[in-house]
Amino acid sequence: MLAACLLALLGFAFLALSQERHLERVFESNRPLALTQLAQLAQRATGFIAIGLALPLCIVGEGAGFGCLLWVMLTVAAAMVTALTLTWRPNCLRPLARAAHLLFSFRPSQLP
Amino acid sequence: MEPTFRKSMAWLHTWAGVVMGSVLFAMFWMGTLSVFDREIDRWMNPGTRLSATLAGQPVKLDGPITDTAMRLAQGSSQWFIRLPSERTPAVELRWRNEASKTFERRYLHPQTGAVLTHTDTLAGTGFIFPFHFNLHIKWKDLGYWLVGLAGMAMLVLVVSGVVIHRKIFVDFFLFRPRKHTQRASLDLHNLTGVLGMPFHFVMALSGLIIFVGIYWPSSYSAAYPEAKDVPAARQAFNKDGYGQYRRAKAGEPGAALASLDAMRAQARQQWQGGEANFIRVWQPGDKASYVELRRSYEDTVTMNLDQLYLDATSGQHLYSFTSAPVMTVQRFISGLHFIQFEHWLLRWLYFLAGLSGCILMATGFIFWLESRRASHAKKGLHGVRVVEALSVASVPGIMAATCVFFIANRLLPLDAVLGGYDRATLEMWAFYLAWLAALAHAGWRGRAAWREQTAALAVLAVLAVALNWVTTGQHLIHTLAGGLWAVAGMDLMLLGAAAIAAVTARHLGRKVASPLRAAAQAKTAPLPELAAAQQTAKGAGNSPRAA
Repeated sequence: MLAACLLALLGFAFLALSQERHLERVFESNRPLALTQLAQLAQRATGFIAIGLALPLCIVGEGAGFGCLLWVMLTVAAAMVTALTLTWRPNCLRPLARAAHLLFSFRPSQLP
Repeated sequence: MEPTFRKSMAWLHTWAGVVMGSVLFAMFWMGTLSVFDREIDRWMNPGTRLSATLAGQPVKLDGPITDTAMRLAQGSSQWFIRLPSERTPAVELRWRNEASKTFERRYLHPQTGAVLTHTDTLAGTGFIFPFHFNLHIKWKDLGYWLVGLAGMAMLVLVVSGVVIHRKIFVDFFLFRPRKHTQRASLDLHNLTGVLGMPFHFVMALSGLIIFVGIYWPSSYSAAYPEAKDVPAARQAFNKDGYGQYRRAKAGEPGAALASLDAMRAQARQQWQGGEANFIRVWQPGDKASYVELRRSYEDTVTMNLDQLYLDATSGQHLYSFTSAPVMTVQRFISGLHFIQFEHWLLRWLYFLAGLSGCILMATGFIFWLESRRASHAKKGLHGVRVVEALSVASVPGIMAATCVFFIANRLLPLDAVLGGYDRATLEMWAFYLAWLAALAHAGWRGRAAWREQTAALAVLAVLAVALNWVTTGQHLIHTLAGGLWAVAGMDLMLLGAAAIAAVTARHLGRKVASPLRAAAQAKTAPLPELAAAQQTAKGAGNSPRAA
C-alpha cells in the first residue's frame, strides 16, 4: 500500500518536473532550464507508468473493489500533494529532479 | 447566445456557479462531515463513547440485550438492533413509538445490555447526513429537488469548466498564492477542479443515481406498466429490487421469541460467513411475529441487499433475498457514495477530497467577486454586494453555524425543552439561527464579514472543544490515552480548523485584499500541533480588530 502511494507520488512528481516552469521553480533558476524533447517524453512516460503501476499494487493489496477505488483516490491525493509541494516546498523535489535528469537527459548537465 | 462555444460555456459556468454555489457548498460541507458522521455521533452523545477495546469482543443478543429491547419497545409494532462495529462500539436499539409514529433510539452496552445515558441529539447521522441530501426541507420533497438540481449543476459545472479551461495540462500543478487574489483564487479553483474532478464527478453522478426514483418517478411506471399508479409501481419496484417480505399480524399472542443468536448463526451459514449486523423483530409478541436479518457490508464497496426472514418463535425459514445483477451495480455505485465500508485510508481520502470540493466552491465565489468588484462599483451594480453576502454566509457562515450546533449540544441540559421543542430540535434551531445571523451579518458588514466570520469560527471551534472537556471531563490527553479515537479525532479536527481559521483571519486583517489565500490555507494546511492551535486561536479571539 505504501509502495502504491510512493509510486503515485513519484509518477506525478516526474510529470510535474517534465514541465520547464516547475523545473525552474524547483531550482530557483532565473535562466531557462529546458529538457530535450526526448528526455521530456521519457520522463513523462515513466511518470505515467509509475502511476499506472500503482493500480495493480492497490488491487493486489486490497482486492478489486477497494483497490480500484483506492487507486483513483490516491492519484487525486498524490497530484494534490505534488502541486502543493511545488507551491510551498519546491526545494524538496530537487533530488528527484536531479535523479530524473541523470536518468533521462542525454545532454551535458545543465542543472545548477 | 454567445459568439463561441467556449464563451457560451463560460456564461453557463458562471451563472450555474453563482446561482447554485451556496447549495453546492452546503452539500459538500455536510457531505464531507458525513464521512465521519458516526464519530460525530460519539462526540455529541457522550454516553456512547465506549472504549474501542469492546468492539472486538463477540456480542451476545440473547439475554440482557434482548430483554432490554423488549422492555423498552413494549407495545411497539417493530424494534431493531444494529450490532456494534469499530465505528459504533455500542448496540443501537430503535423502536417505533406508536403514539408519535416516530422511531425512538437508545444505545445499549454491548456486554451488559445496560441502557447508556442518552443525549437527545440528531448529531451526525440524524442532522448532518440528511442535510447533505435533503437540506431538511421536507415540504413536497423540495429539499431533494434542490439537491438534485445542485447535483445536476455540478455535472454541468464540471463539463463546462473543462471546456473553458484553456490550459488544463500546462497548468495542471500550478498554484501561485503570492499573486493577486483574483489570479490565486483562479489557480486554486483550477487545481482543485481539475485534480479533484474524478471524485467530484463520480460523487455528483452517483448522488443523482441514488435518488433517481425521486427525480424520475415515471421510471417506476415504465418498469411496471401494469401498476395502477406511481406509488403502486414504486412498491412493486422496491419489492423486486430491494427485497421485501411482510406477514400480516395474526392478532393473537404467540410463543416467546426464539434465540436471536441462533438466527444469526443460521444467517452466517446461508451467507457463507457473512455476518448479520441488522436484526429487526416485526410484530413482537404476535403469533405471526417474524425476524428480519440483513447482511453487513462493512468489508465490501457494494452495499449488498442480502436479507433473511425467519419465523420469530420457531426460527423457520420464511424468505431470503439477494439482489439481481443490475441492482448490484446500483448498490456498488451507492456504496461508492455512502462509504459504509470500514477502510480508514479511504475514509480519510474521501474527507480530504470533500474538503477540496469545498475549496473549489469557495474559490469559485471569490474569483467571481474579485473579477467584478471594481467594474460593478464603477457601474453602480449591486451584484457583488449580494453575492458577497451569500458567499460569506455559505462558506465561513455555515462552518461557524456547524460549530454552534456542536456548542448547543454541549450546553443544553439533557432534559431541555423550550416552547414545545425537544432537545434535538433545539440544537437544530441553534444551527439555523446562527446561520441566519451569519447571513445578516454578512449583508451588513460586506467584505469585512469574511474576516470577522472566520475569526468567529476559530473562537467557536475552540469553545466547542473546551465545552466537551468541561461537560464530559474527556480532554484530549484522556481520549488519546484511552483510545477514544472518535472523540479525540473530532477535538483535533476542531482545533485544527480553529488554528487555520485564526491564521486566515489574521491574514485577512493584514491584507484585506486576499480572502482567497484564506480559503486556501483554511483547508490545505496540515494539522498543527495542539498547543500552537490553542494559542493562535485564542490570540485571534482576544483581539478582534475592526475592519
